[in-house]
Amino acid sequence: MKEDWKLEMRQKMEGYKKPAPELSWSEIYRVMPTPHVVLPHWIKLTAVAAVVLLIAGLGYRFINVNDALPDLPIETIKTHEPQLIEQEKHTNNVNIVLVQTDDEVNSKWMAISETAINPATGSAAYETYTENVTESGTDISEAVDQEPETDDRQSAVVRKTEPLFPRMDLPRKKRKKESRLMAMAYVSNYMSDSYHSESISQTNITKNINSSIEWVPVLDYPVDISDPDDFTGTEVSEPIIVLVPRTVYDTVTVVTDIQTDNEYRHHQPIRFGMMLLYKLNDHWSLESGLSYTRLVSEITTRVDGQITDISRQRLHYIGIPLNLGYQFRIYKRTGMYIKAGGTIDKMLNSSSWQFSLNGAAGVDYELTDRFNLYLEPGIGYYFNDGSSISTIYKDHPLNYNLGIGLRFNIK
Amino acid sequence: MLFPDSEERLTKRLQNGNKAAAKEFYALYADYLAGICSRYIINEEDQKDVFQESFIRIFSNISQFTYRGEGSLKAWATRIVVNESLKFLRSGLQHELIPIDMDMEDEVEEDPHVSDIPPDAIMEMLSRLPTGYRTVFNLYVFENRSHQEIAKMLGIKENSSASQLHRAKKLLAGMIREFKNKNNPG
Repeated sequence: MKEDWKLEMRQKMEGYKKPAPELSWSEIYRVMPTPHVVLPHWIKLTAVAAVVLLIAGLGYRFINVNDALPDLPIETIKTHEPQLIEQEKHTNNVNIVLVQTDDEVNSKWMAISETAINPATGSAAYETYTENVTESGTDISEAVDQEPETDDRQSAVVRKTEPLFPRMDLPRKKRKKESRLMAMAYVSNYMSDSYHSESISQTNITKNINSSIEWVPVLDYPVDISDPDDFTGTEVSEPIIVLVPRTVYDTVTVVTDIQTDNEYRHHQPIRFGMMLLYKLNDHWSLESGLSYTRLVSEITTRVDGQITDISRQRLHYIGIPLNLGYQFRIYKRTGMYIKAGGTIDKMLNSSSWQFSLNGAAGVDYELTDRFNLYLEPGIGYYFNDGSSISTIYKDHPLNYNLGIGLRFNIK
Repeated sequence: MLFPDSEERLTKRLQNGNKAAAKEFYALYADYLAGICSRYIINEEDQKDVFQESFIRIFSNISQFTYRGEGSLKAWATRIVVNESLKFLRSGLQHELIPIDMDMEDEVEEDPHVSDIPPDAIMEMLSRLPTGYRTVFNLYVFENRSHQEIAKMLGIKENSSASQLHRAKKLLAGMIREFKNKNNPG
């Protein structure tokens, strides 16, 4: 070929070296860049998006619930199982629902004691008590303690008070640190919460017949269970005012079936922890540490469709994760990694052990020589722990999660 | 032996002003870059100056460098050394690069085949070429530049570049012939 010689010459001299002259290093050092950290725009956007996602993902539901339901020292009467009393057999279901009066400025809330649902007519008798509970210390149960006018059945109600919505403190994100050996602090959560419902049916004997119906406004927390796949309708969120019949009671005995539904709304688990990462070589690493996980579920109990109890289940886990990771640089300060492993979580105050398998793909960004920020979407599979406790892990054993954290290079 | 991502990490550290990384860069590439420099600059003292200037250029501009895969840092540093060498040569080069008045078609084209010639001998032959010939030859062969590009780089006409290369090849071919005769008589 015409230019064979050229290629031949280039190949011959490729990699040719000669001893380099010494340099004046002081001059070199003078012109070298000073250490600095400039975050590319897209990293900033990613970080902002991650934070927003976390805040939205972690807090939305909790905050929403806390806003919708008065996070005040309101106490309520807990519902009791339907039972037979006195000579006449009937049920005393006492449901407490919160009712907002017209006077929104003062945020007056009333407690309505619902008695003796009549499944035949769908009507119910209500006793209404008013108490301004905007100021702390007022116990709505005092109002309930008044003897109702309707009949003597209220006196048979065993009252028990408990906080309806105990104040929730969201865990603060604890981010601390992250070469060969790194420490990392992270927080992660599931990308969704879940809804679960179960029903218990029991035969019961009630009495009542309405003679006239009076409608009263009641603040209700709509729950739509018509479509179990539609979680959006299942929130106990924005309250609406509905009119419910106030039944004037009459004494007739009715035998019916009482259906008790327990609805579990499992909030997104929050997990945070500290880990140590040891680089086996440039790509492979092992990491382990300690994690804390909190699961919160809201349990709404309904008897014949009426909310009788809303309680909150809190589960705490301490876990030990063990992961094998593979990392590689993709661009300047940015690296990617994949990892897989398992976690053993011990539920506190219980003998339950929760085993899970996890996989994640993450992006990390070197903020400084010592600190890396990372964002880590992952997938986890949670095995059945064998307990009867309803958790999000049982409802959704396979779920996606998002983690964010900081790595600190120890050495 | 370098790890696959070592140049990228080295770049990153250099861009962050890491002095140890500058020493590593020197350890990795200085001899190679000195080899490039010596193809253009013959005088040892001048080589040192150009070499120093090249490294200053490299480290002061490292922030502008964008890593584009393994070898890209080395290639970028090579371009800087070539540019610094040309900058040094440019002042005196104009006199060297006057178009050679010749009728190339009348001359028999002889290609300088170097398969049997050791690199040091080739370097020695290149060093014996007139500066203008050598510069054009280096850019054309090792930097793979076209005559158009060379003309632009050196501020000369394209036919000047072509004629310089032609003469360089002819001289080199003669040197190679001479080298072979000397080393393999008979």
